[in-house]
Amino acid sequence: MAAIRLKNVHKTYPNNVLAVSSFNLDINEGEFLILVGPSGCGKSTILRLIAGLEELTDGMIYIGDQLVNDVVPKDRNIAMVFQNYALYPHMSVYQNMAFGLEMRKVPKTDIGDRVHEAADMLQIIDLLDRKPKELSGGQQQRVALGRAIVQKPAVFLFDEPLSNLDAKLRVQMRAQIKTLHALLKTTIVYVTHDQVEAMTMGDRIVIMHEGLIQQIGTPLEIYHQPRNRFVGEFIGSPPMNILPVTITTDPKPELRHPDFVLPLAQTSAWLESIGSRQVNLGIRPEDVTLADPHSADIHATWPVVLIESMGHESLVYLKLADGDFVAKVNDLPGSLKEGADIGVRFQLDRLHLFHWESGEVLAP
Amino acid sequence: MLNRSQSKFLSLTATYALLATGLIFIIFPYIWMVLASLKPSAEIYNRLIPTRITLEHYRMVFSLGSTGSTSPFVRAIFNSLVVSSITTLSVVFFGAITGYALARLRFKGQNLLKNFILFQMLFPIVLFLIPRFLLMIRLGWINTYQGMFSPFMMSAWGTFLFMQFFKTVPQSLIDAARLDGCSELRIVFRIMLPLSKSVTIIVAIFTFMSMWDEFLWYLIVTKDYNLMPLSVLLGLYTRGEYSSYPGIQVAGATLLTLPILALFYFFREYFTKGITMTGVKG
Repeated sequence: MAAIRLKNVHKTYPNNVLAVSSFNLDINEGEFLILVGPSGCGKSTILRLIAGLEELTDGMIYIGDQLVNDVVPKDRNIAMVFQNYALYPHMSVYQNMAFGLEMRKVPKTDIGDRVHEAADMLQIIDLLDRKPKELSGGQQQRVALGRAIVQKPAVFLFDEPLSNLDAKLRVQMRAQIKTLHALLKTTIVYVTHDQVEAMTMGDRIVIMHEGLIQQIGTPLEIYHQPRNRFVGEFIGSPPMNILPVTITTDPKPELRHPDFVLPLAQTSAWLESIGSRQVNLGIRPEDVTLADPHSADIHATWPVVLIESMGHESLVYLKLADGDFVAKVNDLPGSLKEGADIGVRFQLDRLHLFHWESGEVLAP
Repeated sequence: MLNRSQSKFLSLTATYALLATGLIFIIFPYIWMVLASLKPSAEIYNRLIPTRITLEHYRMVFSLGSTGSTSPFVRAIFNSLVVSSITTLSVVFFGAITGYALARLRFKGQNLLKNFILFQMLFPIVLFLIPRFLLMIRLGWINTYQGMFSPFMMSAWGTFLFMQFFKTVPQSLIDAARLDGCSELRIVFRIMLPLSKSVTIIVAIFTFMSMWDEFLWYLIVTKDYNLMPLSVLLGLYTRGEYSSYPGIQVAGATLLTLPILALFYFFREYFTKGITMTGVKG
């Protein structure tokens, strides 16, 4: 295993498309790091830069202590798992797994041992003589994992490895990759656009948007303390509700929305620095409770548009004058039905305030 | 009035009749040639169906001008094989590496080069005949194997075909090979070529066939009977001392077509694939 360090990394493609700019990141030895973001955010570019499959426009990349800017991919001591598995169709599973070792002139007996060891770990021993096209998607992905494992690399790079699998298999493979990481303790950089993978697999998550890092943190940090509106909306499903509100201090500190008024508990120094202004209020669907519209302690009353029940929880879609609001609740109040009004209570310690223009969080 | 099945029957009959007529026109000269090669000399121009089958013309073809053990005919087959095989290997080799570079690598002037290759496919071969001939004289390659095959060692058509196919191979396979430690040449020969079996076979078959059938260029650069390919040797039989022996000519021409027939038999699926893929036929 090895640490990875990216310093001021910059990548512009030949057609002048800026993929990544001023990217700084330290990945610890043995860490499971997730790069997540919408498509086109530059996360795969970062992975390909670490692998050496793309050339840096500017900046420095270290793997371990070595500056690898000019090191060819095969000498970087990394192994990569691709979204479409990238197994060589004309080779058997065994040959696929052995190919990289043969290229590196590893003795034949060692190759056999290593392939069998990895195949054993991944339960693909029976498949060694088959061609990739005779395997299911899940089996192919395990072979692709095996091909990476036999290299015994210092770093594993995963490029959306589970995107092509069906939902059930994805859950299984997620667990298998986590188990492998616990076993091998190799540094992993894992690219995904799936926030469930990001939240469940990584030690730390890097959220990217338009080539820039939006936030780096543990899954819970990112979930509970999003640094800006983009992160708040990107992580969490359904996404965070955003409502335009105004901060007022006269006569007392409050958040005002046409449909509700919320008390502000922030310090007076903070309020002074912010002043009266329009901001965006972020509320996660799971941070509200629904109640009878006639209850005393509700904050707003909105009509119900749609109820999606998933058994253990339900999504309730509400109609506002200027948009929609989604609530995720476990218990549906008895009075709840589509078309009727329902009372909404916000969890006041779970509110997020974002700057109107920059989207940065206004930290208390 | 005809009912539906009757009109369908009539239209099918008309279609088959038309196709059969076309086929007869195309295949008749060949059948005539094969039959003629098996007839006694006296019947060649007089009868279509021979009264008896004879192999005398074939025997003569192989014994003509024989001094010692090798007949010029066998020698010519050998020459044709040498020139056609070297060209085929070379076209596949250069086509694959050039096609790979043009399809998958990034370098300055790439588009210019691509366009130039397409552009020069537009010119008829005859245009280059005299400049090539002069070049061969300068190189001292008249009456040599390399004089015969060197102008055909790289084919724009082959390069183009490889390039188009290589464009469809997923980038991740190339990335995986690079990470596995392959050089670019290794990627071509260990990954790309095995994946493009049909294209490789198509390029190889059509190149081999066109070299086997080539006549004009060989005629120009070879005067030496020992180096002459079969097509040229047969051409010479139609003139001079053997011109009054049509049996030898048709037997030789029939033999010339055998390797092509064999190729067709073994690789017929690739012939149709090749024609539909490229719009080119041999």
